[in-house]
Amino acid sequence: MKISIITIIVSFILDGIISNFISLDSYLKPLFTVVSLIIIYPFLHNKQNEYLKIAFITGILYDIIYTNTIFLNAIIFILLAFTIIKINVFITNNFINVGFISLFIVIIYKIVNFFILVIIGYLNLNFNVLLNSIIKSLLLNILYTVVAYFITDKIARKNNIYKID
Amino acid sequence: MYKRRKIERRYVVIIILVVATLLLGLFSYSINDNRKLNIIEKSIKDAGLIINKTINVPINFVKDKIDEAKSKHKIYEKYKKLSKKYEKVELMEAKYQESLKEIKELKETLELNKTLSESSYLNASVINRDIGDFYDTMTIDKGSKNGVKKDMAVITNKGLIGRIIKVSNFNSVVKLLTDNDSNSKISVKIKVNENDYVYGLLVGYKEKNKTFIIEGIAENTEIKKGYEVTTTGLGNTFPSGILIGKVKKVSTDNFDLAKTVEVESLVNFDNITYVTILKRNMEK
Repeated sequence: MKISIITIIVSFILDGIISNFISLDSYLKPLFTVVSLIIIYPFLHNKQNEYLKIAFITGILYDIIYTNTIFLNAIIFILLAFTIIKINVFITNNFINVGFISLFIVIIYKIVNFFILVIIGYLNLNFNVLLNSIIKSLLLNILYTVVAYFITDKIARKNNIYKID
Repeated sequence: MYKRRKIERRYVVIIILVVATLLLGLFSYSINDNRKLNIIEKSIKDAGLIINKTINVPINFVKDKIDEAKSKHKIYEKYKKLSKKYEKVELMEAKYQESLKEIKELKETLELNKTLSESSYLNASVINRDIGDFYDTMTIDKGSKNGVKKDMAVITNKGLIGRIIKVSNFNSVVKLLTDNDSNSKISVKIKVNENDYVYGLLVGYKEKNKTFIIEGIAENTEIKKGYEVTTTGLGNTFPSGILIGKVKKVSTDNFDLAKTVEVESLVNFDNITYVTILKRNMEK
């Protein structure tokens, strides 16, 4: 549990810091908090309720601190958490699979977020904007997921912390 | 049994639709620029961003040092440019003082107190930028405790970048001009010669060309590339005379009735670290 919360907090803070130092038109846009949901799931496999609660609370904080919305990210984070639970039934955790899950989750997050903003009239329906946003978010986040998976895996093995593979 | 299940399923569908509609309503309300942050939001936002700001301090320091080192080789060129400019400064200073005196006298004559162009400046650092990617906003480290209020203009040394839309105690959210919000049209003027201006309306941002679009200019007006575009002060949001950019391209609309002007900002919107808030003294 501790390792999950630390991973989420570190990712959350890094999101804010990295966004400040990377040019907005670069192909390295951070969504570390979103992909950290993939990293922490193997540690909370036996506590799915806790996992969903963490996703919801993180979403609320993301809403308030970063996007100035109410419940938008909280709901999306819950959806992503459910998706991650379902994916983990079929796929085992290793570097490659975690990278693929990360790719999938970033795309889902962007599409759901985009369409909600279009439905409520905040954005115009322009698929170029969506595509551009997805492409710019993939590289850094997949890399971060793989690195974070490697680090948390090492820590878990060293300290005999339970996680599924 | 089958009928009962069918009715139950219908209820579930109705409940899901009602919840989805309520949620969409809530999202729409929460994203509105006119919504004020409540106490809980302010407290959480302040606490979160204080941590963020504290971590940013050493990183910003290193970044500034790197930028400083990068620009060192250009110092001599800058010095030459500045010494040329300096020769003109005294002359301009005298003209400026004369103009100030004239404005003061005219205001006394017209019995005006303060105008929208009178502002004081407040410098701020950017804490984070557009994490959601679709919002065209950034968060700065000055809030209501520093005298920041909603709708204040935010500039950099190269021109206007946006306005304050949400204010917390120790930070605020700036909506950038690059946002294509149809409700935020800005009245602007293009300087065509020493004393003449052409007025228009900044209606949007072209992501592809990285230019602002100005409409509402009569077809018979001659506008050339490089003309300066500034705010007019009309509309009670932005003070007058703030630089927006320079004319990059001029074209006529489909009916040959009006001109559309593309304006290139001198600000690099992808990389803003420090900003200045124009605190209006009074609106009249």
